[in-house]
Amino acid sequence: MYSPVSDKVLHRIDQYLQKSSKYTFYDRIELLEESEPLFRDDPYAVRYGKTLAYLLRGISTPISPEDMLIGQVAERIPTEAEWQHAENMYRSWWAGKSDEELQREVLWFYSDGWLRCRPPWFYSFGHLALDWVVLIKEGLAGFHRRIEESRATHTDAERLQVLEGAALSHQAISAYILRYADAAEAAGRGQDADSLRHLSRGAPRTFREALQLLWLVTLVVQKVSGCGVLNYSRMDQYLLSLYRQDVSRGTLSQEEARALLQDFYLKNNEIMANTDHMSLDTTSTTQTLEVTFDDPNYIILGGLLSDGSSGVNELSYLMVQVAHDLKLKNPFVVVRYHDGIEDGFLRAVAHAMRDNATVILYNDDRMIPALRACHIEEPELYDYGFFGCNDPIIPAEEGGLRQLWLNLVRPLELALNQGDCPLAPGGQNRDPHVFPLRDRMTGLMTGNYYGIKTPPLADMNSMEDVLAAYRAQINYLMQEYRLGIEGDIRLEQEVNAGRLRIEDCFLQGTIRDAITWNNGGTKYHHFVVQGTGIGTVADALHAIDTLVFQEKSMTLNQLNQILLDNWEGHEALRQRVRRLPKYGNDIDAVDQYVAWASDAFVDAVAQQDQGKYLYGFYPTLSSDRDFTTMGKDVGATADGRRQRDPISENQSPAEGADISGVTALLNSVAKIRFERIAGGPLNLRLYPSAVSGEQGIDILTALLKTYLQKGGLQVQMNVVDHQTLRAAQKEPDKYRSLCVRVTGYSAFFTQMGPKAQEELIRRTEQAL
Amino acid sequence: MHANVFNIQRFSTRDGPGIRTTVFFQGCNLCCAWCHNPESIPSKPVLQFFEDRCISCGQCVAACSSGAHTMEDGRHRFHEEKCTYNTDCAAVCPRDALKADVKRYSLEELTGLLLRDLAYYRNSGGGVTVSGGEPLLQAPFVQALFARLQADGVHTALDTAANMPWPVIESLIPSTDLFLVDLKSIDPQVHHTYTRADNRLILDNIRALSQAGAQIEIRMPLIAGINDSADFARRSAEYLSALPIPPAVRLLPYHNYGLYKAQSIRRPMEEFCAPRQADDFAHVLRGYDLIVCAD
Repeated sequence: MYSPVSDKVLHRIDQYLQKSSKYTFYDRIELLEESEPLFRDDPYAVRYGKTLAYLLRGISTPISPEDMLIGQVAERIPTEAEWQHAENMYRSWWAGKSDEELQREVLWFYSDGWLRCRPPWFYSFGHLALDWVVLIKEGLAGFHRRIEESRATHTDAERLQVLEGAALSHQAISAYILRYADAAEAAGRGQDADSLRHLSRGAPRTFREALQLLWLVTLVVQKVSGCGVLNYSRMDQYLLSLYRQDVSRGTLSQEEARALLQDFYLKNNEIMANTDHMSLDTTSTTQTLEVTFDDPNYIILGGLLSDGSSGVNELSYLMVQVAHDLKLKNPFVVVRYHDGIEDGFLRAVAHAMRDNATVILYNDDRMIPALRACHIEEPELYDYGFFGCNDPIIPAEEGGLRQLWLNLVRPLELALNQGDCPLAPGGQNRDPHVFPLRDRMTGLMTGNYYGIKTPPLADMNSMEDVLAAYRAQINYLMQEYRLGIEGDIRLEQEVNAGRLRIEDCFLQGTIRDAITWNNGGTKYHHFVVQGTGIGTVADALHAIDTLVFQEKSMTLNQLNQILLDNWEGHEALRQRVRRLPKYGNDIDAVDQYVAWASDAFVDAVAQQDQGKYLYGFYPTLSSDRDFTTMGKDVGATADGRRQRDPISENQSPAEGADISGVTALLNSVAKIRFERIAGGPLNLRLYPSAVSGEQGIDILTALLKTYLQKGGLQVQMNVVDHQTLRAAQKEPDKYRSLCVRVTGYSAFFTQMGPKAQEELIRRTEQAL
Repeated sequence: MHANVFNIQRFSTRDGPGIRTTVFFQGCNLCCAWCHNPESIPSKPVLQFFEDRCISCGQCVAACSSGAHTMEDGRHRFHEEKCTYNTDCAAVCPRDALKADVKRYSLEELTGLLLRDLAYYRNSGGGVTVSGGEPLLQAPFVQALFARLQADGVHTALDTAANMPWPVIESLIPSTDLFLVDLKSIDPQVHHTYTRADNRLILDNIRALSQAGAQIEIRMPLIAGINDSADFARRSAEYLSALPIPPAVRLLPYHNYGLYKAQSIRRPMEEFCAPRQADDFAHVLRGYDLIVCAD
């Protein structure tokens, strides 16, 4: 059900979209600079708490008349001189530091651009779910109390420093909320002032107060402390009792609840800089002075409860509806599907997805077994959510942003070359470890990798031999990765002791034991290992099988030589190979290899996750947008891909390879044994008129439901627009699967005549 | 039992209810001037050659065993008369300039493929649609196929121009859940001019189908200045509303997407225009209590 959004809200969305990416929360930068010398002599954790207090005392507390929820920061476009000044300060933090120095200071980071705005002494990893349940049930006092209780049990100086830092941080937040109470009073909003005074320590008494508290904590944690990409986890669960209480008392109308949620969503959207964090080549991204990128916050709705019943309730409906109405980029709504979910709810979700709202579906029936295999216990197993794009996280019980994008195409080329790297034969690994330090810190496999010695091709007489060599190489890579990170973790135990960060103030275990989460404070610790390029691997294995072992039209050696020559002089063969059956078309002969490769990947990961380590692994099938970067260091592959071309993205087939319709694509993907895979997206591209109207929503609902029943893990949708069609005109090979439909007629867009393409683009523009 | 099929579209959502797979059969006994699948008209498959995409790379010359492709002065030439449709050329063409999609399916093979989406059909109330070309030119195959599908609880729809002897159509009634019948023009003369066939047989068949209680959706292509006049709308409405069970009507405004494909099989086609006022046509039909939807 779509409900209209007021003109005022539309105007607000519009204003955000037009906002320059140069807008900066400059208070933060000035105050950081002022505070830098002030607390230098304090231990790290104490300095951290004092820095936060300094910032929260100094920043202004603006209130706009249209604010329902109170809390924003002052933003402006800095002058050229100010911009340069900030830039210089950022540079002084990081420029010229070796990887080893970086590691000692920050342990790991997302990318250079991400690191840039974060001071070494006031650093946060973010990408996690705080203990929102304690926040809502007990208020900030719940954390104050835990800190005091913990202080009474510890004597170790370092731990007491951690607790002092946490106490200072929480006191600073409470004081900041009191400052806002005064500001509200001054703005003539007495009722809000009363609420804020209460919320400075107390538990929220109403639905409105709960959102108010969530928002102010978000502002401090994310916008001031740079602990971004938050997962709000199951808001429809922990807000439900207050919501029901207010509704039954008659103090909260539907309109008010909706308006409050709208304000909450809008505010989440508005604190993000208007940038694209995954496009590191755009100047708005490299030049922003902000710590909050466009990376969204996550809300988890629906899903199973620990007693096996469905968590879907009236608030789940309302929160999907608000996402649908607003269609913002942030927050990012993850709906958890399970067998037996209410049809009406699934339909509302499908409707929102059809209309391009930021809503995606995850399948509990696959995620829960997969997380169980990663040693997650009940009941928190049922509260799983995601940080970042598709990385699992258990709320309050672990930290985030530890990732490895494991390039699944590399073991294949290593297997065909006895462990040598085809793009730089005869070389050796850069580090004592196969994974160099920088790759371990950022998680990206860049440059050359060399593997273990596997048999020469002349000795491989069957597909089984090829697969065995692949397994040997991927097992070796994961073993080397484990070796590398174990060294890192040992170093962390030493240099990171006592280095409190804001997220440690809001987790289970960290306060009780007075240890940061990554040094062991939380119950769980994971690296997300993101298998990347599985479609390319499946197609390449199938092509090898076909050419060498079925047709026997060439030897494995001959084929590999062609790959080493990057298909030079073999264009006809390359074209033939490109037209062999491909993953994504519901053809078992190929799809068996996607299931096989996924299993080989999970097995390799599981081998290195035997329980004796502090950190376990979450295996996911996810590339994010790094499939282009990942392809750059990989040689030609037997699926017809040339060297350095992109590899396949996420769970998807290679670009343009799925040409048999959406159901065929979904059937192929569902053959992956997702009960072993703990995350990763499938981007589904649909042409608008295929799912238009009420009937279209029914069809989409049935499509999604069937896919998830068949064992799919995740679905997110893109409805094709004219920009996609223009891109397809420029690069038809990448869009061979783009199916469009107009007037009782479907066609592959790239196969239409130029005139008809123009006509279709015109019609698509009109339709949207 | 085998059939020639030129296209199979899975996740088809407009040819009957729910999620469907539509199977397009090769060969037609009408020759509509505005056909959007002109490559499906000949009963013998024809190689499609999209000349504007050809880069004269010569790959097809080497791949072809019958000499249908040659290079002359560095330019590729296609000799249709020599083509045996063995499809090797299309497999090596780097620009998709050659297309040979017609495939011969056995009943088992096709049924197996269609049943792969059974769960989608069931969850959406969908099924299988056969279209073309004119699928009834391969009626025994369609009948056997539908009987097999119905045994698995799959909804069946037949998209036909109904330009066939009544017994052929009648034989499909038990195994067909929905007839999608094209009505190109209510006027016999116009019908003949633009499809090369009279419409009397078609109109009789529609009436007989309705008489037999079959579920029917009538599909009317609308071409500006040819079959979209208010007078034609009125005459169509009079005919349809007088049927024993007045059918639902779907209007399909003209589009030019067939032109490029017509060129590819070297059968130039005239370009028509979409009607400016498809709504007016629909309005007239609705005046006769007909249920109308327009794509």
